[in-house]
Amino acid sequence: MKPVISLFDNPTLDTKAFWDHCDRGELRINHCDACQRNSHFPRQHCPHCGNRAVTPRAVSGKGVVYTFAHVRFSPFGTHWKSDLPYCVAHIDLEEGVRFMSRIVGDDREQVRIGSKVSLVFVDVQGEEKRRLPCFQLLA
Amino acid sequence: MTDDIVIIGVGETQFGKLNGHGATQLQAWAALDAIRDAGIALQDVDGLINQNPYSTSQSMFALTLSEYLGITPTYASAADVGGSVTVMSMLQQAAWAIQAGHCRHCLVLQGENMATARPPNSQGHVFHTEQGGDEFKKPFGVQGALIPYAMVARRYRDESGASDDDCGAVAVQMRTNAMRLTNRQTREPISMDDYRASPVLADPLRRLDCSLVSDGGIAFVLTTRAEADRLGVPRERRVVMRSFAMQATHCSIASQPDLSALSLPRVAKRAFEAAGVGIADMDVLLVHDAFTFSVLLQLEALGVCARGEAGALFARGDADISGRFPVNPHGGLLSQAHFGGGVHGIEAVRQLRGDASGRQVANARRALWCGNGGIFSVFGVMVLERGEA
Ligand SMILES: [Zn+2]
Repeated sequence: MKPVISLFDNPTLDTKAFWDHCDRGELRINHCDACQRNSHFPRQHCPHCGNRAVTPRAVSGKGVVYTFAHVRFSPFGTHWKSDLPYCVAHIDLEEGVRFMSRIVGDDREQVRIGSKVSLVFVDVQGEEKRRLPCFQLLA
Repeated sequence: MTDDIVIIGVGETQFGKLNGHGATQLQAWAALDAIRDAGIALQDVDGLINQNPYSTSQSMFALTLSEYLGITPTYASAADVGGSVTVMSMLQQAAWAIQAGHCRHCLVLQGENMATARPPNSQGHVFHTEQGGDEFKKPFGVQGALIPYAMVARRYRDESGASDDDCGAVAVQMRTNAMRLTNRQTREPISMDDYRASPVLADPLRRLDCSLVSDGGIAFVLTTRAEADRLGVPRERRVVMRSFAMQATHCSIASQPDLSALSLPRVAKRAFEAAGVGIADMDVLLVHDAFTFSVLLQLEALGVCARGEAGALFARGDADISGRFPVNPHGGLLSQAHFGGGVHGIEAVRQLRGDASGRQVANARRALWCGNGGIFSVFGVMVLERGEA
């Protein structure tokens, strides 16, 4: 898979582990030790029940496209220009959380709402150690 | 809400690109216009609630404005909820502050140089949001408002069957409306052909689906009914806020719920029940039109028409000033100005006072203001009435 363009913020105490796992090729989502429900984005409690014990768990990597958009201009300057058109999407993961991501692959313009997708980690241009959790269409 | 509190003045700056003005100057300009409109003196103002600007974020902005204007308010507060819901919320706070006796003549202000003070390379309005916001969308190339809203628009169009032309009908109507007033950022009318030729920025959104980015300011003056009597403000020049409801569901597109879980239907139900009215009782609708499809989605959620039918309503002319459901006679955020959405509240007051020359909806007595902020993150609905009773 061709490396993608990305822009990362400095992670916080809540989010550093999430991005570190991504760089190792693993997508982990917080699981609540009390109510057993999952949540995303990472934070230090469960937004469903308020419990403060949550454990990041690896996901299956399977999901369904809730919605998407093909971006045809580079927002905020020229940074994204060589990736155009790129496809941003909301993926409903099997684990019951919605995950903002990208759909990659030469067939990405074939995406539809309801398309089945699978997780793929993609290298990031100019960021040797970083990997971005993206999705590709299942044949 | 109580009808003991009334809006007795509104004001606005010029809208467009106003190089050299800051948020302070713009809010003060609108404030002085509203004070004059209300027929009070500057030193009568003892309450001030304003919005902290997005493009040039500030601390203690209510005090900044008070100092600049030269007043010493006994109630001051700066607010930010999101979009036009911020303005509705400030009006509610003003009513509460006056009712509780903390002040008697309260200013509500929104305004900034959203267009000319943005950092270089900005696109749309500037938002800064932590955590679920920037950190979980920016790495994927999701920035600003347009890309998130393109994702929501895709889902809405898939569920409702709304077409390009349905969205185009909103764009054309808003531009037609704006041409009927003078204080507007756009200059030329547009046709459906112009809309169809407009470039796609992020499917399915075209340039002409997107609202403006403007410099400008608006202001309201509120007081008690007894004080309006004392000032000799005629009853037909007063506007009452009959009800207001809001609900937030999320902040960032990264935490977007299902379309069916957005708060507008529940918010509208609460606002209608509190006012004892329904959608059929409304004479004019002011609908937060950051994007064309936003108007379709909101009109359908408000019960103006069934799912997928709002585009036809525009195509038939039912949303024009002489139609069954006039929408945004001022041209809205798409064609008048957009620096947060307060222009809808100003237009509601002008329509209800019969002041909207060239675009007046005949005999407008009751207005519905439907607002949102963020990425449909919060909705607010306010019912306003001409204060004749
Ligand atoms: Zn829990």
